[in-house]
Amino acid sequence: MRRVVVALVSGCLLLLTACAPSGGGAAPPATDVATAVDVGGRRVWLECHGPARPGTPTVVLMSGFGNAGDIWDVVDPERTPPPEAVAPALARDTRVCAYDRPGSTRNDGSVTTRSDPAPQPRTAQDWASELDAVLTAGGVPGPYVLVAHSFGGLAARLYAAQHPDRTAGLVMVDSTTEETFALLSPEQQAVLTPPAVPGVEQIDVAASTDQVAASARERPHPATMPTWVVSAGVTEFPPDFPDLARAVEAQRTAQSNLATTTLPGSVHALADRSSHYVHVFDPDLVVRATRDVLARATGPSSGGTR
Amino acid sequence: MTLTRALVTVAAILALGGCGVTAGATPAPPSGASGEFAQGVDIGGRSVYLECQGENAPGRHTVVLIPGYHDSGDAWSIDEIIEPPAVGPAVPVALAREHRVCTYDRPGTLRIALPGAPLTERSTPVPQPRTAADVVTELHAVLTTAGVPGPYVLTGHSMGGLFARLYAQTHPEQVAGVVFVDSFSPTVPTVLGPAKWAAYRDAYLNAVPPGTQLADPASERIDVDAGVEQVRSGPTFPPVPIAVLTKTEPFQTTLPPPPGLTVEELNRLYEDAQEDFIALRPRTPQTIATGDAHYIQWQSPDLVVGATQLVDGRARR
Repeated sequence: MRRVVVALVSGCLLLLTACAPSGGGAAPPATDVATAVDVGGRRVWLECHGPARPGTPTVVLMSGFGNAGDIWDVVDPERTPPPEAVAPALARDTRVCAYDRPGSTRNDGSVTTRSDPAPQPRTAQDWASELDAVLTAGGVPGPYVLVAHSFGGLAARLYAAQHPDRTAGLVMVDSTTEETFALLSPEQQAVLTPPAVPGVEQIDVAASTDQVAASARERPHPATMPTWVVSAGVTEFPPDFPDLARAVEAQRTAQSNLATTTLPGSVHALADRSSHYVHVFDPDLVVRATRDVLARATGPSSGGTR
Repeated sequence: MTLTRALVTVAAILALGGCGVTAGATPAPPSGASGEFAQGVDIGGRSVYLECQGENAPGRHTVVLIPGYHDSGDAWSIDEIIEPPAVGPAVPVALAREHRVCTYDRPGTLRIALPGAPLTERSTPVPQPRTAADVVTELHAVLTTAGVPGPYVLTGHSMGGLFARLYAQTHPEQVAGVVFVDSFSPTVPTVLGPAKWAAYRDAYLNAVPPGTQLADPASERIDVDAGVEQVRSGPTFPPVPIAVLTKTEPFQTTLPPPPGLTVEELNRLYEDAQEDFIALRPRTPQTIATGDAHYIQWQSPDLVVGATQLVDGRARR
């Protein structure tokens, strides 16, 4: 029964997309999508909400290592007044999608069953290829603004380099960079590597770093692509982390280099006293960054008078 | 918006004494409270030019844009000033979609919208120099007299950020939040040290190039040392949300560098001093406007608008 309803909703979405009038005007009604799409014989859970506006990119939320797509629905309970979470705030006037990578953990602590398992560990390229397959299979209209947290940032950059025509902009949310682990000592890196649990997401950091570094050399990020780097003012490390001061300084350096050199022309926002989960601690800042990338991607014709 | 205007009209009629049956026939004339307002406001025998546009959407606060040293309201308001490839309209035009937004001419400031950038004739000249406290007193009188609805989000550029900070300290009940746009931090003199501070102050901030409008005795002059002391010794900054915008490119000036201080060092130390704003309140986002020089509102008006909306969203209602 439920699957029938989902299928009908998907069909409506495809019809609406095909028949959508070009040009501006009032926002079309939002059609919620929450369904498993097939990517090469396994299912990946995809959700899209908010109105699709002709000429405006779709926002794609890419969770960090371990997190399912619902991490973008969470707000730090200590924020007063409480801001709206990233996903629902953006969905007010923008098409926004999120998905569950295989083996990712949902907000209730359970490993997702909405997406089928995949062999672990995986690399940033695996994540980027899967994203491409999910967006294609889900019929999500491009171009996309990728909002990527932590390790998702590596995959987002690979996707952007490999699909420049479908990438309208990037928001890096305290994103991992090719320097993040390189700047740490082997002892520090070992502390940050979680033990493997069957069925739970694992990443190959070294291979992923090599992939992204090679991609950056071959296809440097164009300064014309609207990009924000949103960095945490506080970087979380486990208690008793060896040589903590050096680790904190290393992350500061990695974020600064990402914003100034690797992704030239980026706006760099520093979230004071936020943890690594800037989208949870300061969702309004991540929303602001995303809206700005959308505005810059669509240009002055989106309402400017210049 | 229509409801707001109707309520304002009703309020105006009630203030007139309730003339009964004629109520609602004519809309309220533009004032600081509503409508397109652009005229002098009399504050005890002299006039200060104020311009306001837009109406506050439900839950939004009025934004007051405070220009920097020597700058009239033109530094915010004129659309021609937006530098490609900036996106979007000038800051007040963009903010007016959801906010009442105002800016003003301090006496003796420059009309950069006009050929030759003459001193403003829209506000009555006053004896110079003045201090930040004088500026705060004046702005408070202007906003109160004109009936601009508070509390305000104050968005201050450069020295305007110092004024905004002292305004928030002095009138905390009227301030919902503050945005510091590459603002002059009160720690700049300390960060520079006495000799370099004096060089910067005298060769840049208070420079009087001969034959320019700045040599006119009516031109704005600020006793910056006094303003810094007023901020430091004033009441505690109120618990309101703030945001900081920071440039990456050097100050653009035709003046020779201050003696004993390179432009590079000045820029670095000016930005280092932004830490003092960030530390004012917890969770203060600092946005670095890559590629922008001191007038971020000209090169990236969208960033100024976004920071202002972020602070407005965090402000109490």
